[in-house]
Amino acid sequence: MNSFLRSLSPTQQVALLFFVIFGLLTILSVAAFLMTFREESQVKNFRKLLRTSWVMVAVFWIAWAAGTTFAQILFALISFFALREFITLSPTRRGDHRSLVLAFFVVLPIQFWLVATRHFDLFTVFIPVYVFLAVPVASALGGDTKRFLERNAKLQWGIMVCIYGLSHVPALLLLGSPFLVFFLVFVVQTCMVVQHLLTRHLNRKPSIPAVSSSFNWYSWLLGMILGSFVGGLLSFITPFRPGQALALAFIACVAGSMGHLVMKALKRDRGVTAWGHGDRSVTGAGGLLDRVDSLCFAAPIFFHSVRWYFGQ
Amino acid sequence: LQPLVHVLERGDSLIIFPEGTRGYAEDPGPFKAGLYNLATKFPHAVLVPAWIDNIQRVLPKGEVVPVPILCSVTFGAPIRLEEGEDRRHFLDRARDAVIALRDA
Repeated sequence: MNSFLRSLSPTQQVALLFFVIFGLLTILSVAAFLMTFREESQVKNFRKLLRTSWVMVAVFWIAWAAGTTFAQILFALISFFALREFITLSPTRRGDHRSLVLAFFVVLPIQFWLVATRHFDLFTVFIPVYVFLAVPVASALGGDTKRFLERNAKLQWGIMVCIYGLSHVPALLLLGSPFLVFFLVFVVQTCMVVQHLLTRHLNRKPSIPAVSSSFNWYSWLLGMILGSFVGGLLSFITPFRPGQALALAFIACVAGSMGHLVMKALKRDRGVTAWGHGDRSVTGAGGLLDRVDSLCFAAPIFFHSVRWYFGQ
Repeated sequence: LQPLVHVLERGDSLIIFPEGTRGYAEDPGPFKAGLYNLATKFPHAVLVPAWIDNIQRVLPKGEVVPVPILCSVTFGAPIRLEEGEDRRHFLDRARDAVIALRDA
């Protein structure tokens, strides 16, 4: 099996991978459809999850088939819409207008351009150094001091999560292995889905009820273990040895699930249950940020762990 | 108001911003008399208050580049001009009906 895989060219390997995943999804979807004849309510959530998976896999397939440039643009767009949802729910004032224009139309394109042109040294410091110092300046020039620190913190946080975090996903594409993005997304998604399903079935008491009505340490730990294990199994598609893949998957899962929790705390603070869905009538947002928030946290940590450890 | 009267006579609907301008304040400015005049002329026209959330943040007065923030529109229950209601009273009541939708 392994030698057969190694005999294929990288392109053939990716194609095979997508073939397997689309096959699995088809089987699961057919099974879920057949189950609807029996009990409706139980399967509904699962089918929703499947639909999300279909969309995600399709998007990744298109991104891969169309080449790196297209992937850059794709993630820049996702970042744009995620930031839009974030800013919509974070109240800003008139004086922040220039800073917001800066974030959407200057910082975001430059950051993704830096990634696409492989300016790795600059793209890791562009936002935390230059932008984070420039944003308060733009706000101060706006001449409004009401809740100044709070407004700037919100804006910087939005830029950090939605632009800086997400820009590390396409950056992985340029690290040399075409599978790193897939590895990261698949591992983190597995961990989140396992956690979600376990929480549903175990009916444990929430560990941090003020932040999340579902999160508990037991399901979290099991999700971690399974996510890392899947990462170890997938080591053959990465440049890592199984042990390294396991450790990196673990890091990505911790970052991803904790990030999801942080975003939940933010949502609670704003008094909404989801960035889009539950509150659709009020904000009109699509809930994209709910889907990618774990990636926003996992991608930079994963990227820099890989770069640091392997010294690329 | 003549063009508006024509539109209503044809039986079409109108979207009116009765404050007549954009301001720097968080609340809309006081409503102008146009709404009252139309309401007296067309007592059967249904007046639906509507609040556009976030519209101020998209493009504040005096700015050039809009920010792509999501907006939403909330519609309220129709109001009508009461028998013998004072102009100022009616306009303030209409404005309150619009502002009340902000927190809905």
